[in-house]
Amino acid sequence: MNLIQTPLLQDYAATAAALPGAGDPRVAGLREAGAADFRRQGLPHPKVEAWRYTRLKDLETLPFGRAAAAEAAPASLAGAGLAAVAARVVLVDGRFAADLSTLPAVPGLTVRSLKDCLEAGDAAVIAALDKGVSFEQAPLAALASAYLEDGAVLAVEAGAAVEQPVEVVAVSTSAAGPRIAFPRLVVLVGEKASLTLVESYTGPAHGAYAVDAVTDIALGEGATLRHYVFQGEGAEATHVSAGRCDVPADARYEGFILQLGGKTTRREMRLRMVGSGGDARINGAYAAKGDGICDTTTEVQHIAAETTTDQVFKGVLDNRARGIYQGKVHVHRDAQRIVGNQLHNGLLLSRNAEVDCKPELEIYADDVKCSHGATCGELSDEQVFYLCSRGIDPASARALLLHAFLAEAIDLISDEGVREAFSARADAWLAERETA
Amino acid sequence: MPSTTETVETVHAFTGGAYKYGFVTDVEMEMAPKGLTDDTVRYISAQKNEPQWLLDWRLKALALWRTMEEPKWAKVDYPKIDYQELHYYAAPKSTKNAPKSLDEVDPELLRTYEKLGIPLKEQEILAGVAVDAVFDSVSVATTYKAKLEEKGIIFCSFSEAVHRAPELVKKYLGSVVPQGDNYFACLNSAVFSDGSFVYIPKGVRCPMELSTYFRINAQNTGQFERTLIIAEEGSYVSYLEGCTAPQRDENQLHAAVVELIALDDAEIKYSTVQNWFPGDAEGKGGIYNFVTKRGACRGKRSKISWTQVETGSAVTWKYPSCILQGDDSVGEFYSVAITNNAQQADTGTKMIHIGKNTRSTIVSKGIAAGKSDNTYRGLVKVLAGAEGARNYSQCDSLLIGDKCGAHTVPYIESRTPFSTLEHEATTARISDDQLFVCRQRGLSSEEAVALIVNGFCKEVLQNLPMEFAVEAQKLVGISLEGSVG
Repeated sequence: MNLIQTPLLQDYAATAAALPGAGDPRVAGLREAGAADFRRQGLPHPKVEAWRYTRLKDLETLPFGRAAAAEAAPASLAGAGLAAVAARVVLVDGRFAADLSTLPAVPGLTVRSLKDCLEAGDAAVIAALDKGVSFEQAPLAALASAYLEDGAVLAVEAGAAVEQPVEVVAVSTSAAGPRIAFPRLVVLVGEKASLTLVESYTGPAHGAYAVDAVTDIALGEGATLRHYVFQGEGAEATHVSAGRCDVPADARYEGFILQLGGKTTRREMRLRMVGSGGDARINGAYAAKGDGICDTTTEVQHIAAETTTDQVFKGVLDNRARGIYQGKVHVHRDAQRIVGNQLHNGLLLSRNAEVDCKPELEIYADDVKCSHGATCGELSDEQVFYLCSRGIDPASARALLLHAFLAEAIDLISDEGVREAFSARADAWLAERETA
Repeated sequence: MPSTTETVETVHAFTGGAYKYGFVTDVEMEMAPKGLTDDTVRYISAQKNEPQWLLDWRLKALALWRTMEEPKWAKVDYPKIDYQELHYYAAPKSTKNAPKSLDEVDPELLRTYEKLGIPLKEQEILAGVAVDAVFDSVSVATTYKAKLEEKGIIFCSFSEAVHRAPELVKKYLGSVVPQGDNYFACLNSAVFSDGSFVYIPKGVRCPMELSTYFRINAQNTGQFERTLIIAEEGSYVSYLEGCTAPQRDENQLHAAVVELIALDDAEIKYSTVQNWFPGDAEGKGGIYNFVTKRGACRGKRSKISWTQVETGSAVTWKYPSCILQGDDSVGEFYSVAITNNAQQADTGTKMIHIGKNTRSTIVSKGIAAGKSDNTYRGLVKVLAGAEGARNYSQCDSLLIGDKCGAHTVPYIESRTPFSTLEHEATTARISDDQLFVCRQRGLSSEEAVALIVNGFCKEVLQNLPMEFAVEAQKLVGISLEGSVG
């Protein structure tokens, strides 16, 4: 395999020595492992099966450097535009910004900067960074680990319920030369605790920048996590992210990924169902235009018996945009009584748009009910005609149908406030498209 | 769940059963020396009196093959093949003085076919099926040739076609599967031994099903068939292919290439029943089946239909595909793949939509038992110009026992909004409810499972030509015989 040369690790040796917790062998070990992994794999390219549809062209060609601390003030902290939050954590270029964050005391919830935790050598945080789902074929996650520096740590103590959403706004700032930021999130939800978490990614509307985000989640037995992601990066952004979560016995994970921005984006979520009674949903919606490439990749490992997962993804592609959905459901040997479903619907609005879909089932147990469905096509003329025959003009009819198409996924968000905010974001994207 | 336990036990019982077609025919063989060099290729070519251009074509393929790597992406696992340890050519000696009629054919050979259940004489009289039987590499007898010739149809062995219709072979050989297409196709291009050639002239509807029985014999001989079928404007042909192989200890390599070309309004129906030796309970001795099959719908309103029933081989790597170039052309793929014991099958199809209003249908039924792995891998690709393209894919898997694996890896790529693609896949086992209902109606558990699995495969089996449907049903029946109660 030919390695794509990149200057991304050029100043690694000098940088790593100055990063927080460099003296701690556990932290230094994590960085070393990440660097070694990235050196071995290089930037992903289409010859790598997991990356066959997505090429990170800007990272290959532009001279990206690591974003230094607070180069400029962020343009907006609006994030996903939630009406009410329990707390808002702001990360500027991947670094915890206490002064910009709103952190009222919420019973059962602690919010810390990752930098503090690394310096203090917090065992639980380091364990969460170290274990869990593997990042095989995720070289960018390895790169993020090599430059492990700062981010946010959210912890909910056992039995506590944080119902109102906690939002983490990761914002990139415009700076001279293309910069790459590494926002890192560690989420620890104790036994039978619950948390609603919204991750929002935004940045300057113009100018190339990159975000390489990683989210590590550790759930306790019987815990509930509602994990919503809003990716609203600027038009020239490269956004790559990897999330991983083990779902133990009787725990519940509800994820939603809304991708509306960026030029080349890829959100990856890997789940391991490790305890009986675990239940996970990962749903999502995406829209891309221009030359955008929008990739959503999920991997679900059913390791324990009696676990269920469900996925619904909907995408809208305009102009020359490309939408990608790759989903893998892997049922391990002896993991019986499994339900695993996947659905992906792609809608092409333009002659040059493209959708690529790879829903994969790998099953080694017989008492399972697994399925996947995939469709792609254009808006149905009959539906448009029906609405027109009811006195609605064609443009509005199309807008209505597009809204309804994405709403089928967005409606699956159980938190009302988040659902409304995400729906409004999607509508804004559609409205912008209409006027363009 | 007693029914499941029963099923598992009986599947096990079945695996213990000996392979019905396991025997070796004792015929004097003429072999190329072991190993693969330019000289091997020259030897094969010389044995067949091939023209220079074909030898050059083979040598070019060999040079290309040396630069290629064996593909590793398929979900199959087998010991590394030492390509220098194989014989690349074996011909029954008696064919040196080519037989003029069946009476001249080595009686030992005829007995082999009888054991396989294809008595040539009977078929000639009863079935109305022209059989071009391939015994190891050389075609030994062809029937009904005269009848076909009346219509202008050419149906002969590949080596004969090289002399009889050189311009057709030269024009179409490698035009669908080029030499460097993939590792195994490239190997085949260098060392292909023989195969079938079919040419249907303009407007002719082939009056009978054409069929070939392949049979691997002789120790350590890979068999590399090359099949080329050309259907001219407005013609129709249905081609049947069936395989059995004798039992032996060392794994045997089989890397065939099949190329189909359908011009305007032509239709080719290609059906396969593959029942090669799957190996013992550990897969030892089974056939490695690495096949490249591809059809090009070059003409407008042309149609290519693949139907396959795959029950044999230790390792199957096979993706019969359609390139839908002509406007309004149609591609179909119907497949039943049954794996048992340690068998591994990675099979599926590719549908490449290039022309306008092209349509494709994929129906794949995978049944995994024992500790086998059964993978569907398919690609549906709609290029930007393929407006009005339509695809429907359905891939269902059935698991019998808790040690087997069923996998589905579809790739769906659409570059035009004016197309509709649908894909659905399910994986499940025979439900206890289904069994219970059947048992309640008085069926034995074996009958019940047979009924359910037959129903599961029905959509595919009913697409086989009648002559083959019987054999296919028998095969599925045999596979099921031991699997319950």
